[in-house]
Amino acid sequence: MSSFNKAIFIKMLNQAEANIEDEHENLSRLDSITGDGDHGVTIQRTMKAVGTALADNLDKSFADLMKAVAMKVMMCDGGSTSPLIGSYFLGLANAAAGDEMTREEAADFFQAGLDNFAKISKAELGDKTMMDALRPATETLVKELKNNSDISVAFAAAADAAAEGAEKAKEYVAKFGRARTMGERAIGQYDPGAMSISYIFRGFAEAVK
Amino acid sequence: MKKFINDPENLTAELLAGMVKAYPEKVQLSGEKLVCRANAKSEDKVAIVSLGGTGHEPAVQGFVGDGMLDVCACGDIWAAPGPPTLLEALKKVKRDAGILLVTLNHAGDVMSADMAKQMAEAEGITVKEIITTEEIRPDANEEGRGLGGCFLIYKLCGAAAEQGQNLDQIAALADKINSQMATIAVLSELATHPSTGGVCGELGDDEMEICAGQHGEGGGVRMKMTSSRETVKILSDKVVEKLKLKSGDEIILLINGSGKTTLMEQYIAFNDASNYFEEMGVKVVGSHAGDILTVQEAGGYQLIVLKADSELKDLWNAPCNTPGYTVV
Repeated sequence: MSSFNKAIFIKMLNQAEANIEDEHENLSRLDSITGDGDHGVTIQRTMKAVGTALADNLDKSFADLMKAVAMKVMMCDGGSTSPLIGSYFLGLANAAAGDEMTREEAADFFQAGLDNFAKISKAELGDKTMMDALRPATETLVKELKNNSDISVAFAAAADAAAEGAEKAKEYVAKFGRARTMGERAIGQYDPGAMSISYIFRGFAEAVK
Repeated sequence: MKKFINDPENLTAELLAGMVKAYPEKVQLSGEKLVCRANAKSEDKVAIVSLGGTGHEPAVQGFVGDGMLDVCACGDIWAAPGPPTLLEALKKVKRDAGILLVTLNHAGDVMSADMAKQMAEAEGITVKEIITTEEIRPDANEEGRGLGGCFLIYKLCGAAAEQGQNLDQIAALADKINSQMATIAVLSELATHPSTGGVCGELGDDEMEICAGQHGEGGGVRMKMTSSRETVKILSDKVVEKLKLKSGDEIILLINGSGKTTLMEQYIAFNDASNYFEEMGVKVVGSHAGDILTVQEAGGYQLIVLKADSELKDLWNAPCNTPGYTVV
């Protein structure tokens, strides 16, 4: 597979939704250790909203489709997940050059998603948040796409980077969210947000394998 | 989990519907997630808006009504509303007099408020925001969360708005209250998330946690359970240190039960706290004990203290009429 387009990204998001559906109970269980025990519920609701928004707006341009997804996600009223994932899709919407994209354009597209996410998140690498998976995944993806790697290779590498980032986040003290006040007791525990991002990128890779 | 519920995915909709039906003379629902005053305040007065997750009843939406909040944007169980819901709340009370937005310092609330405020300003809505940070942390350098002290902002800024104070005055008042109050929490039993049935955190049968989070997220100092008097002393010592209280000072003193702790225990704690402060010559000039901001069946309570003056006392005594708190 050489190009990236609207239809492929819809397929990728649908696979990500399915992966979250499989993992959401486990994610809530992880969150009950460091947070308030509902991350799985929230991310499941968020990804369902993504799926619904995609199905309802198939005819729209790539940019408008991403905007519709962003609005639907933010309407989920899911604590920090709503503005975070909503901003990600708004960033994608602003950079969706067309329904078909070159690999260079696709790289800019995913970079814009991360940049807009970072504006709202304010988290750095190592703060034990979604950022610990999203930044390495995006940076790897952008590098691969700019190197003209095949889409399947690029997303497989991004998924590996996300998984590695989520694994590393286990060793961090949390600087944001409900786990922030736990101090060193958070060390050794997974961050459910980083795990979710990792499952989402795994879904992206599986869809274009 | 043993709870009288219907559908774990529909808790917020059903509880909000029930609340407005129980207090139709005080509050009404606009759309699915906005709780508004039944008797709207005149438009020449500053509106007070807040946001928050549900499952903390009576907070946050239970403090909508005459003399306190104009609108509350509700999220879902323990989760802040997204930016569009809060934007709707701000649009609902758009006015030349402006809006004070009260945000409790939790990641989701702060992010949503940040985005909604930007969207509102782009639509020509005048908003000033106060982020409440009154929680006492074990490490004084760590920024506190917004706990039950939001109630005092709603009450006092709500009263100031009814008096006709302008937005600058009310925003300054909110800052003053936030800097002159302190909340410290003690947790004795863990909450269950009502959607998942999962228990949040872990705590030994004979343990309590000082400076615990509202949702069992931990981070406090654990010790063996002890008497009410001893617990109140541990909490109050921290409050005195933070607010630099000394003989001759006046305070408003609140005990906010977390859900499972009975009113009997809350009154015993209030008695101990009241004695503690009187013994050091600090006068309690306003008071309340009862559930303000709960976390399902979490055991424990929050001790909330505001250093008072004549201005704050008058605002505290002003009338209000909400599902969660009424002054006649």
